[in-house]
Amino acid sequence: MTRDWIFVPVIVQVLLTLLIYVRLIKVKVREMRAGRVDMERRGLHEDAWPDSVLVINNNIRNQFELPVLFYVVSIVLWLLHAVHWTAMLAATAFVLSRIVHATIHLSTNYIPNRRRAFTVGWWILLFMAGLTLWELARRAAGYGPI
Amino acid sequence: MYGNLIFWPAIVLVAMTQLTYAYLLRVKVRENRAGRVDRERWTMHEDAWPAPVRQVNNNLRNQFEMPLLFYAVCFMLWALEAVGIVALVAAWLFVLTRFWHAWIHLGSNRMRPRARAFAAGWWVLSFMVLLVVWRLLGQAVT
Repeated sequence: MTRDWIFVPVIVQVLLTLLIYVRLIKVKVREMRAGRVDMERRGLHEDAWPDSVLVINNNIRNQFELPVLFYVVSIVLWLLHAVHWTAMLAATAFVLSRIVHATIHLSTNYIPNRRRAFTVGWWILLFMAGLTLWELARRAAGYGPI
Repeated sequence: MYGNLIFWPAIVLVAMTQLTYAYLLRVKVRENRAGRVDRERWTMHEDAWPAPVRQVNNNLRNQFEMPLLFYAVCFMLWALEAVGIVALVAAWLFVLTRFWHAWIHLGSNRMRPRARAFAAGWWVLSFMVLLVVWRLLGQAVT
C-alpha cells in the first residue's frame, strides 16, 4: 500500500463539501422563487434567508471545523510516511461519520442522532491525532522512516 | 522544482486573506471613530458593528471555506507529483475568481455578480479535485 492512499478519504471529504454547495444553491434558488427571501437584506444578513437555507449554511460552516483538522492530520501522516492500515481505516471511518452527519443535518436534523454522528467523528479524529503523536514520538526516539 | 510552482497561487491567496484583515481593521477604526459601533456589546455580538464592518467579516469568513479546500487540493497535487500546466492554470484561475469575488463582496456587494464569481471558483476547484481523483485512479490501475 502506498501512502498516497490517505488522499482517497481526504478527496471524498472535499467532494462531500463541494456537493453541499450544490444543494445550497438549489435550495436558495427555490426559496427565492417562492418569495421566501428578503431580497434587500440577503447580501449582508443571514436572517434574510429561511430556515431551509440556514440549515445548509450551518452544515457548510461545520465542514470547515473538524474536517480542517482532519486535512492537517492526514497531510502530516503522509509527510511522516506513517500511512498504515490503521490510519487508512480511521480516515475512512472519519469520512463515513461525516457523510452520516451531513445526511442527518440536511434531512431530519434530529439533534441526538446528529450529535452522535459528530461525536463518532470527534473520537476517530482524536485517535488519528494520537496516532500522529505516536509516530512523532517514535521518530524522536530514533525509530521509524524519517 | 516544477511542482513547487503550485504554491505560488496558494500563497497569493493567503496574502489576499491577510490584506483583508488589514482592510477590516481600517473599516473598524473608521466606524468606531464615527461613533457607529455599540461599544457595550462589540466584543461579543456581531450586530454591534455597522454594515460595512459586517460585510468585511462575512468576506473573511468566506475566505476560510472554499479556499481551505483549495489549499488541501494544492498540497495533494504537489504530493502526488501531479502539478502540470493544467493544474497550474486552474490554480491561478481559482485565485483570480477569489479576487473577483472579494472585490464584489467588499465593494458593491451585489448578489448576482457575487454568486457568479463564487460559482466560477466552485467549477475551477471541482476541476482541480477531478485532477486529484484522476491521478489516484491512475495509481490504482498501475
